[in-house]
Amino acid sequence: MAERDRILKIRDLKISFKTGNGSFQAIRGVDFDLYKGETIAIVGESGSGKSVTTKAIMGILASNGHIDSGTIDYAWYDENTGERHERDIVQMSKDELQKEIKGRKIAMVFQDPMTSLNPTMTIGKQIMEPMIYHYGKTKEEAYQRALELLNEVGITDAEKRMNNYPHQLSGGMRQRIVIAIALSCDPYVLICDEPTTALDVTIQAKILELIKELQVKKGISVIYITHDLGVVAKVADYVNVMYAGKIVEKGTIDEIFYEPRHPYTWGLLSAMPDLDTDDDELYTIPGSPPNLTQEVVGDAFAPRNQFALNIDLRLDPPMFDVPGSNTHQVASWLMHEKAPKVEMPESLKRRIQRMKKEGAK
Amino acid sequence: MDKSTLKYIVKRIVMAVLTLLLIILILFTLMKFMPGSPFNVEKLSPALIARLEAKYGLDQPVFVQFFNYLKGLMVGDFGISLKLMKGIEVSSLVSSRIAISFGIGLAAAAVGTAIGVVLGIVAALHKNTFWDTLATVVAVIGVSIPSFVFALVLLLIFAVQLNILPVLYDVNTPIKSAIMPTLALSVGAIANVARFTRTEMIEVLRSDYILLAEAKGLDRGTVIRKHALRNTLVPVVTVLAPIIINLMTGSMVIEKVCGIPGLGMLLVAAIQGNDIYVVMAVAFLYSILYVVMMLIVDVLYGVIDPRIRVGKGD
Amino acid sequence: MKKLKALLAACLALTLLVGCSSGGGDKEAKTTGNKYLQNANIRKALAYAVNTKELTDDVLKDGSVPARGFMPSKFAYGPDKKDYAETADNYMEYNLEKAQEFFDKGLEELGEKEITLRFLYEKTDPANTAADYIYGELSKIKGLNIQMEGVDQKNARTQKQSDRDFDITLTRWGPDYADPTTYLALMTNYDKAHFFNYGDYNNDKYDELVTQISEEKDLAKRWQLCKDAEAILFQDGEYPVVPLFQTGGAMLVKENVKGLEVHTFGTPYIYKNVKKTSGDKTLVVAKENGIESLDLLKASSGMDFEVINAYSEGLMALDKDGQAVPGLAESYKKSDDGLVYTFKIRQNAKWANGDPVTAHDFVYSWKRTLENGEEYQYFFTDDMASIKGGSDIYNAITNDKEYNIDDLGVKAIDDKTLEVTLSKPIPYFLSLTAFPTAFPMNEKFVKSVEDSGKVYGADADSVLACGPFKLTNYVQDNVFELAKNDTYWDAKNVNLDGITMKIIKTVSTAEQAFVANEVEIAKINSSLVDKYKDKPVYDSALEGYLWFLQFNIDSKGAEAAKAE
Repeated sequence: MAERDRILKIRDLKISFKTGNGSFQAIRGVDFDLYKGETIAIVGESGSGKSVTTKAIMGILASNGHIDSGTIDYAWYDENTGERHERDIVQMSKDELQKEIKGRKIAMVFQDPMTSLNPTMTIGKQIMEPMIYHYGKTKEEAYQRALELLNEVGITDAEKRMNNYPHQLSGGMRQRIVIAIALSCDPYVLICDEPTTALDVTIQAKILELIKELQVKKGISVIYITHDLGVVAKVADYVNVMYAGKIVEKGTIDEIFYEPRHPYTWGLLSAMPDLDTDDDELYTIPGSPPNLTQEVVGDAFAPRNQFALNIDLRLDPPMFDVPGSNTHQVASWLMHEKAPKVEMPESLKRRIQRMKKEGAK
Repeated sequence: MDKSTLKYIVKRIVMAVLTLLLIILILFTLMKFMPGSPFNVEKLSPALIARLEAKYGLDQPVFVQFFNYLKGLMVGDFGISLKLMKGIEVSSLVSSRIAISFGIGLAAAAVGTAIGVVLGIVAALHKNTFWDTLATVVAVIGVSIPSFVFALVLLLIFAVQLNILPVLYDVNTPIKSAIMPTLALSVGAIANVARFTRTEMIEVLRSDYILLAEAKGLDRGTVIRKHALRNTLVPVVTVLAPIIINLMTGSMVIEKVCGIPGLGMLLVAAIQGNDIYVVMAVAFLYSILYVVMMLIVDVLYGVIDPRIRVGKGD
Repeated sequence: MKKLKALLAACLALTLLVGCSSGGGDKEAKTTGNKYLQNANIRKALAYAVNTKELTDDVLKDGSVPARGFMPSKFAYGPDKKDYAETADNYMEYNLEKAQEFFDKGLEELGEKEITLRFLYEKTDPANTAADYIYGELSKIKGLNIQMEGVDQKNARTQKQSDRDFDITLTRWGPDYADPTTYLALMTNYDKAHFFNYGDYNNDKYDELVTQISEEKDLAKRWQLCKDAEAILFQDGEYPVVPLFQTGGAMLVKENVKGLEVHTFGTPYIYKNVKKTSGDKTLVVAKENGIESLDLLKASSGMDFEVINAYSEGLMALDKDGQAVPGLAESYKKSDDGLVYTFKIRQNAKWANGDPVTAHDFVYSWKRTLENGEEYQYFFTDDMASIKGGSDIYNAITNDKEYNIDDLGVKAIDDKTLEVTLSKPIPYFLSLTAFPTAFPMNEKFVKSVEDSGKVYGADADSVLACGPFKLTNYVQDNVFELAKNDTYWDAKNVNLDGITMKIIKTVSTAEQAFVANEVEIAKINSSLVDKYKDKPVYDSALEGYLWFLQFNIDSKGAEAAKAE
């Protein structure tokens, strides 16, 4: 196996937001890594902080957001010399971020293709724009490259589409174009924020395939943000489960799906709708995510956790390594050697069995 | 322009013509119910007044008068003035003033829009800071204080105290004389456009496509210029039509205060003097202006916003 | 499609509705007299109720003066050369107690405890201000309720008066000519032509007296009869009107401007003799109104006359005291019976295009106005200038009968001699020739303007001057420019090089223009009088309008009712 080249190393990232009611910490200490050519997924409910984290990486945090502490070490290879550079994005100035990182080394695909394209600008212009801006390409060069990109993302009739406006295209096509825009400057990292949530089920699969293709072809690393475990199952190599601004479990996709350890992960997996579900009702995790404007004492998930221990109410659990794996980590007191043995719910066990069987087919 | 847009315009024009006919009829009826007479009731006996009315066809049934008027309109005859400038053709009375009133109105609209847009954009970009508050204060003042108060203030400062601009409108120096009235008139427009632009811009800046533009690595200036601006200005166009019409037709008080020989003064004097045909002509002119303006804006909107190409499907 | 149909339907419905309504509108009187005002004591009471001195001095403050009778001052001069107002009696007294006394008596006679009267007035200055004040005064009378009915324009007020739709109206009359009969005629009731008698006041003795006046040949006796007639109006049982005040014109005049004449009838402001003691020789004045017409057929407003009088002149002109002096005519002869005037027109009287002013120009002008006039068509009838044949021709024209315009008693004996024959001797005839309607018109010029398709007076090129100035430019509602007319016979005595009349419709703007030295004369109203009244630029002059209250009486109806 080729040596894994770590290009993104995030340690103890803390981000807070200023609102009318004072500030609150949305990201309360996040660590994760991204390796070249690999796909990671960040999973969680709305409000868990998934988008915020990635926006911080790109430097497009909202104006009332502020990185309190932590590091985002990004490594890249110089195009010409092949030299390896590494910089802490947190320390980079706005100017540098804008000129070097955004759109060039790290690009983003947004969730809603209906609204992420400028309605009064032609598709062609929108794709050509970053190339002309960052690389000083001429209009003709950019035009040709844009046509190529459109073909790469699977759009036929590329010439015609160049002069179309977003409202003249379907949702699926628009998302392809957003992807084309993201790829226009040959980035090394692609962040996809719920890229298929707003699309038809039939189109979803196609888009995911497309991203996978491009990833393989260009050697890009991809970060998926999603709440849809179905998507995760299809695309991710590694999964980070986020809750209330912290990562509560991380591991390879097999580890997370077949051997989940955190009660929250159990909840997520149980909540996945399934054709074979026996119950008349869909399982949901009771309660709702905490309000982070108030200080969190102990484990943020404790109030909703049927397996919560007393200590969960007082102390926030650290990351525990799962024995036997150097990739699987869980932030739960249940992992402590002194903790009582708790097993995942029966229904979940059965489901995982089914998944394993299907996976084996 | 393609066929469907053309069809649309033609249909609109037909509707416009019918609307104008209806307007003329209503105006005619209203004039009949107005008390008073263009003739000198104070000094002339009822018998003489009756003769004058017969001379000018005012004793006929309204129906007949209306059709005669329409007949006249076909050949460009808008009747004659019975009071303001007795015997003079209404068309020449009115046409000499169109340039002045419409000119000042358009200038005020242009100035108002330009300043208003800039103010609104500045306010939106510096939301909740000093500049934003300043812009809001200016907007509130502009909307609350009537334009003629501004005119009086400007007159007092620039004409009376500093003596650099004339108090009275001088037809020999139309540009210089028009500065203060234009500014005074534009204030209301500035306020409205600024507020509207600010709201639109804030809305636009919140959009996903702005975020995407930023994610592309474009600098703030480029994002605003290339992405935010056009999307902000497109809806502003819709507000412009009523503003322009308002300014071109609503300058009466300013005209009176600054002594401008414009349409507003003419209309007011005509109404006060019961000079029927002058009232009809000016009101008709305003109606045409209104209809044409709306049509232009509708078509223009289609030109600048690709989502609304009138009559098209794709 | 639906919208279209709806629109068409609306059009049709409206047309039908409107078409069924009548054309010119009903001219029938809406109401007859007010039964309370038919009681003479009620009327007399109101005559004592208003403190006109306070009204003019403290409220209007613009140089207006309280009325002493039904005749303003400084407009009519008798054979004794004295102003009528100086030698006539003073009939007005302010006495609130007497007012209440008469009022109570009236209430008793009517058998009422309290009455309500509608008060009609127009909301323009000075009527607006005066009405407010009068309301306050009348409210002091116990048992009297006043219901104020203000209308926006003079038009509306005169319409309501004409329709008899009022109880009391605040109205005014400006003299048409320099003789008391112009006011006395207002109260006569024998002739439908005298429709100004809106209140339908009727006194047969008064009517007889006024007829006698028009036939009296002895001027001194006639003058006395005028005073007798006025006296009747203020006897017990009469009081058809309550005279209030004569308007004053308060204005700002730059100190280097001298010689402005303010007249009480005809042309209100005359600029011929204005002299500027310093600065350039062009006078700039602020005027509140534009002109309505420069054609003598239609000219009637004060502003019309001012402009016409600046570029034109009549046989006679008026001096600063309102007396007739030679104008285009260098001399005149009057026959012993006072019926024939022969005018000698100056040899050097010229039109600005070089044509000499001839007697024919007067004949042409007068006949033209008599035939086609829209305002002062009646100027030549026995109601005014009494030219022989004038009334007959006028009646024929207004009744669509045959007539011969050459029957009018005006003849050009030769180019420079004009002979005018009157139907009866008129003491004020000479001053009437100074009235713009009697000015000459150059027939050739008028025809050339009309042939070119223009209306006479439409612009500066469509009028021809024969007076001290000539019209060089005008923009309606903005400015009138006149330049000195070098072909004028008296040009050497005209001091100004030109006049610029700037039309400024708001007083505050006029004041600002004055302060900024953009105009040299500006009229002001009561709001600005206090600011300027002690300054040298302040000036005020009497104008000719007399404001008075007129009562809706319908005396005949009252008599008839009493008889039943």
